[in-house]
Amino acid sequence: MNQNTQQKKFEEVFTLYSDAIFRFCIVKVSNVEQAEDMTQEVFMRYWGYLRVDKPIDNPRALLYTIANNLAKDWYKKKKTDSLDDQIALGYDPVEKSSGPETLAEHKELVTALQLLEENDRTVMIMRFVEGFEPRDIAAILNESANVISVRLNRATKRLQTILHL
Amino acid sequence: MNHDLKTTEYVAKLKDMKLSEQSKSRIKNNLQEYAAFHNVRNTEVDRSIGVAQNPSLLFRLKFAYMPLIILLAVMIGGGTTLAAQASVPGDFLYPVKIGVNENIREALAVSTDSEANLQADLLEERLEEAKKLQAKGRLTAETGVVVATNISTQAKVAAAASKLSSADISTETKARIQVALQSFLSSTNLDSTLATEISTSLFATELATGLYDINAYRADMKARTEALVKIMNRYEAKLQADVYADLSVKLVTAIKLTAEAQTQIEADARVTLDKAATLTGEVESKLSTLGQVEIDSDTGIITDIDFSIDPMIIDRGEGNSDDSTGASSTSGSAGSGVSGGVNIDTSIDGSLDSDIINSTTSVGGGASVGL
Repeated sequence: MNQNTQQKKFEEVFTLYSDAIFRFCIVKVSNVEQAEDMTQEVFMRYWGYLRVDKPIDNPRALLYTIANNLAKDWYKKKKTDSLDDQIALGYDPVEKSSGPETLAEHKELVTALQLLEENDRTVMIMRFVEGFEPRDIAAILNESANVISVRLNRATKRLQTILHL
Repeated sequence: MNHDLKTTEYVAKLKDMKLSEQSKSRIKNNLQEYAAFHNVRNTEVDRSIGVAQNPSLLFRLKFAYMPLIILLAVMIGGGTTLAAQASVPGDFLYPVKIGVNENIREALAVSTDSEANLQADLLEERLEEAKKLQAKGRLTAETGVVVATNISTQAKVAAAASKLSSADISTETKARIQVALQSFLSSTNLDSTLATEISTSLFATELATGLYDINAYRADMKARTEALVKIMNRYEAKLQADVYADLSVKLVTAIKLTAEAQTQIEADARVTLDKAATLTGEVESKLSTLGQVEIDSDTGIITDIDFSIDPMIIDRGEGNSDDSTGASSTSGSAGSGVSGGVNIDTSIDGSLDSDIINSTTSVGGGASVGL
């Protein structure tokens, strides 16, 4: 094991999963800047595993686990934040590549997801955006597959109401 | 179920949401630096590595940048500050030298001693700059004013810092300041606009005296007059009567004034000592026209005169005794005044103690010889 090979692996993982982790983060924190910082942080922690050559079975799952833990920290911190900080939140991406229609949809979705409970939000995005099977989600979130399925069902109904579909 | 499907399909649209290219490459760069900095370790460590649990993300980000920032500061900053070090007033980089380089040096000079040394260094630098400007022919009326202000300000700061430092360093830096100012004045006096800008009086009165600790000034004057008394007594026979009389009067007045200054407050003492210094100076310069004077290189005090080198022949006149009696008796009283001053000086500055006692005894000795 040396620096170069590990760093190469690191870059591969980043290329593959950075967008997905960013999506996960933005649904969690609903602020582009913070989501970007958080994404970076997730990968920094991931490097912590690589540099000591810890065996990683499933890089993707590990990234989500890290992200989920970070999000928990973020929520703990957020509770103590002032109202001003919360007002500053909001989904306002500066993504130039997508059309305005897509952007509007994204904005609507993120805003709608904010109205769900945090746990529901997490499973929704993991299941329907990232395509995880309920049992994989269960493994990452340290829950039973059954709980995840129930949560998914309930969350879908709620979101449906929110979006007036 | 159709509704459910619609919902999940809609949610799936988020798949297109991505990091902007800009953010992505920024994060990627940060991570590469981070990985390079926290490089691979060959020991197995079973914990969260090198990452603090709670500090803000921004804070950690800064750590990732740290090596780069330091490197940049050394590479870019080093060049600029080095270049700035050679600059003179009016140069583009001069503000960097004054505002950055010297502030850093001041920040690094923690003790009063290093501060005193630094301020003396800086004064030497100010003077050096003035010389450089002059050499380059860039010393106009305008820059002259700036330079003069710089020098006088720095001289005051240096003198103040010197006063605060420990005895050894204080003496050393004071000497450096004096030497620097004197050599500067002698180098520029003849030809320069600067000499008019920084008038000699500014240096002679405000600065030069300001540099003297008042106790040192007193001690210095005492030593000077005491040395002259000795010489006058030793060579009484070789001096013309009228010259001797004239010099005696001046010297006696100087001694009186010096004794007076012992008990005065600083500002008054300075004025008194200045008068004494003028008189003593006249005596000294007269003596130096009469023969080859020997000067102590450390103190600048005249220690001896070799009359054989001077062409002037001395008339061994009579009637010296009156003058000499007058001079000696006065110097005797001055001696008692001086011994009164010992206590004052001891309480203010112990280091001057022995000098003063010495001068007291020798003045007394001079008086008895005269009588």
